[in-house]
Amino acid sequence: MYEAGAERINCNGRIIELPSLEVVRPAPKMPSDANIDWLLHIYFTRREFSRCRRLIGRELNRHLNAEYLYFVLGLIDREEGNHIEALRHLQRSVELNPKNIETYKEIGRTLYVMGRFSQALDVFREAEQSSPRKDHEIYHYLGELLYRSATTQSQLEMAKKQQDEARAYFELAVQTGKKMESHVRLAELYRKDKQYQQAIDVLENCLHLTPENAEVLIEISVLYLKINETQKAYDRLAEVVIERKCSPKGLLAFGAILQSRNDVDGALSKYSQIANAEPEIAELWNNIGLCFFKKQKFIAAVSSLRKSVWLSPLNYNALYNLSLIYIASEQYASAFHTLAAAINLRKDNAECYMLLGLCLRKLDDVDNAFVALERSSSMASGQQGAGRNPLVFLNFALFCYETGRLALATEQYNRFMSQAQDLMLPTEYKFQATKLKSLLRISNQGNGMPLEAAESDEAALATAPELRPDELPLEVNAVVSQN
Amino acid sequence: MAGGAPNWLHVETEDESPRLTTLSSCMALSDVQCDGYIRLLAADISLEDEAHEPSATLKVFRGLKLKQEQPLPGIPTAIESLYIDETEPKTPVIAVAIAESVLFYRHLKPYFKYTIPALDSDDLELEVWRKLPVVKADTHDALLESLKGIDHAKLSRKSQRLLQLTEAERAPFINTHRDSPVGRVGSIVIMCCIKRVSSDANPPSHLVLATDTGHIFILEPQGFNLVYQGRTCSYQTAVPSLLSVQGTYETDFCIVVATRNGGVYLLRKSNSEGQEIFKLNTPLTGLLLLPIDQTILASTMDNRYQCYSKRGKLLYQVQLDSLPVCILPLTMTHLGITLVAVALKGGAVKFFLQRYQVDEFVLEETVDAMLYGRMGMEDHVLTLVTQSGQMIVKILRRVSRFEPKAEALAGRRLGASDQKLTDGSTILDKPKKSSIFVEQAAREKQQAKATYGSFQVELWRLRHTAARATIDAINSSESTISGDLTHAPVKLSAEVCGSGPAFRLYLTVQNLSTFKMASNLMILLHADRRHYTIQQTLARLPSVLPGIPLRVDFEVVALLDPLDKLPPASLTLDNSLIRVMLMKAGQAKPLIAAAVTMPQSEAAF
Repeated sequence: MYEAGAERINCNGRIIELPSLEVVRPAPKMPSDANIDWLLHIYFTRREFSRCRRLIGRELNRHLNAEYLYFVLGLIDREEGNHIEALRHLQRSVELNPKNIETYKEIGRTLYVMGRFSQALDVFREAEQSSPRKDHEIYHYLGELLYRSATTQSQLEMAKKQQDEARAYFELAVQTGKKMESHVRLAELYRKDKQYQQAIDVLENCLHLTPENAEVLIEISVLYLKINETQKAYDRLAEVVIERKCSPKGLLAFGAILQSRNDVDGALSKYSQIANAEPEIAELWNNIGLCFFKKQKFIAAVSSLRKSVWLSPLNYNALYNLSLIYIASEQYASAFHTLAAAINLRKDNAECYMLLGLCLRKLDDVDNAFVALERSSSMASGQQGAGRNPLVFLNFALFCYETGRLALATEQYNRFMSQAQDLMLPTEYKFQATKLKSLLRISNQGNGMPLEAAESDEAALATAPELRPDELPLEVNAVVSQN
Repeated sequence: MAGGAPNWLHVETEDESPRLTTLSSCMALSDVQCDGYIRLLAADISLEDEAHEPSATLKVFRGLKLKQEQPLPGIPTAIESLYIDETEPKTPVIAVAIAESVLFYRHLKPYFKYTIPALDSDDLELEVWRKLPVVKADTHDALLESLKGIDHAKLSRKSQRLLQLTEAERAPFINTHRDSPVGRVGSIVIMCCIKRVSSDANPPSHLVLATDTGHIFILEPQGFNLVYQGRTCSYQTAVPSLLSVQGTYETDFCIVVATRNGGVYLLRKSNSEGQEIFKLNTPLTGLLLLPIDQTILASTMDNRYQCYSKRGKLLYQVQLDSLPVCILPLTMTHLGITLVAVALKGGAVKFFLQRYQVDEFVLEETVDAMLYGRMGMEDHVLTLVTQSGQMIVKILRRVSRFEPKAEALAGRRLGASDQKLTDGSTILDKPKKSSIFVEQAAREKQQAKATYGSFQVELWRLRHTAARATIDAINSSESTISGDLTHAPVKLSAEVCGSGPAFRLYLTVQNLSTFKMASNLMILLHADRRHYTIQQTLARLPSVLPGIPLRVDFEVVALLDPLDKLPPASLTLDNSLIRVMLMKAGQAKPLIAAAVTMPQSEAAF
């Protein structure tokens, strides 16, 4: 039996192969197929869209596989902002080849650009399912979309779940790909969860991919500041600042580090760079004010801090610092008002009440001063560890001594000693403390010297401002999280 | 560059220069006639002519004069001039890649045609083609239907065509093509040369071919064997769009391939499957693997010029003013450097040495294609073809040196901050201090107590006024029936249950009007905090209809001294009161303010 197309026939019980017929008769060639997808792509990347359209218009009818034509048509429509058309064309492309993940991705991206996020999410989920490999772009977009929907989600639990899922996707994206965007997003999520070390690790990885990236460097240094690694933060920032492409955020952080190292002029020069570009940052003027304060230029300090308060009237830190400078420049009435405003914003700060008490004492409102100092002392005795501040007790003890409450003064003095024993205190504190100690003993014997006590109180007051530099990094963190 | 003469000398032509539409890949320099005079070969592609099919011609220029032309059987993706062997006199061979074939020309005569191997087809498709010629025409539909089950992209061309034909056209088509092989053949999208062994002057080369099916081949042009077969990456959808190769075939080589989606893959001699190096969000317009430092340069659709290491590390990037159209390496052996020319949309051509721009010139329109090398008798000739087809030739001046501008270097190396300090050290724009401000500060220093005192006096005065107004308001409405005539009259009665310390206070609100509704009412309880605790001190009432009394209740707990379980001493019969106020929303004065006397609490045990 001979069957057309069969290469073997059964002949006399043996199978023999027929010689191929093609040798004899050359097969007719397909009509010359000008597959110019490649040319189309080149023109597309050169943004010669009208040329592409002409070419597509002509090819569409006779092209054997129009998938790529529709794909490019869709992309051109998207570039030109015609999203509906773009979707239509990309859809056609998918119909021609439902297995092309790239087309799905482009559809998802188009939906994303259009702001149809939930639809985009569905498309990317579908793409993830049908993708034969781990595609970091899909993961990135899934993470991005989930993150976005988490931030707009009204139910807290749902939002938390979506955020966790988003993070899982970003982690996948980081593992499978090398996109900077995924790294930055992942770090952002870690930072939101206060996992600063992880965030830093992710960004450090990212730096291996894109060294010298100013944004990433700044972000890292800010994170280092958060975990109090000032030196590392400084190193990172120095790279950026020297490169001359630092953003205000980075300059502010850099200035703050310089400031905390007592390089006031360096800090001010950084701040003045920001002030030229973007003067309306409350935290910037707050830091500038503190710089002037350190240089003992009270008027400039006050006006800078007042600018900060104008820019952001509910900024507790600025109010606190302003009141501190008012006290230092002996403007007690203004200090009182500022402190009152600060306390109204945050009622849980012992130092704030202490300053209020000292301020009231200066204003001869002894009763209220006592109430304020008492409250500050009772708040401070609740604090343990890093947050404690023995200065509160010392000031209260001095005040008590001065107003003749000797027993209370002794008690506060003892508290001060117990809290201060393992701390490095400025010599001025110690000096005041020993003085008070001797005075208490003397007054126990009945020979009070209230005048001198008043002086010592004054001195203690003057010591108070030195607290602030420690607060500076904190201050900066507040800045950064707001930007 | 600095001030003086330009680095590039423009070649003037006395007559009109030829028009040419081409791409960088479709231009080549070759000693076609073996006379030591390097001619320019270019494929002139005509796409725009509406009347004719797209077609292309191979043109040979001597200098700027068109000497010869020859029609090509299709639109070429690339033209290369290469030497295939070491025999003297060395004769170059022109390779032209068209669709799935490479045509070889020798002395500009067709000499060989190589077609890349077909890919295996789906069994189902083979089966269908076996049946189609023999079965009856009416069963064709079912067979075609089964073809549609296969991915369209994976069908052979004749099946794809068959599916597009109308019913009448089918039978003759099947008849003609019944015996042609069923196989899918990719088109060649890129072709370039790789030297076989390292370089003397004109070494024999191999051809690197990339197809739109994602395959990378190296073709040895003597015996026409494929000596290397690779894939861009492991999955289907990666179609190569750009390719750059470095190294020599015999020792080691690297191929970088960019796909249409923006991915860049690296293939090595030892590794025939591409590894993803990096993936960009936008497609690339140009890709280069630089010879010396082995870095990868990419120009992208979002106007960036980026440099990556082979491990995907972004080494630097330059933001360009406009879209980079094509990029070209210019190896200057006499200077020992490789410049990269980037042609931007709009007509600018910039030259980069690493990240620094070292030279640029601007033409009247966008440059579409560039070619650099020995042409004619000159060693360093840059040929540029603009969008409208104008051909411009520039020759490098021999004395030209390319160095990054001093300031650009200084800006990076030296502490830019110092410079910034001097130029940008605008003295900090401090907030202005008016004389009043300063005076006020001075005055406050001396008279802080007085300022504070007057503030306190005013504060107490304000508090006093407020307290007095409150008492007045409460006293004036102290009754059980509201006296305000503009609203419905309301009556309030109270009743206390319990023996203490927990009491329950029942309040009844009654609308005395016959037709008006009393709405927007609230009840506010007020008691001395030292004596009584009230969980809920404010209740919004629903509207009270005439004749239907509304009853609400509150819990009141009398405070007892925790030690002796007795009420505090300050609680006397006279002040054991709870003030009940009935208010109307939006009205400051209460409608009714009544005081409820609380019974004495029993001690709690």
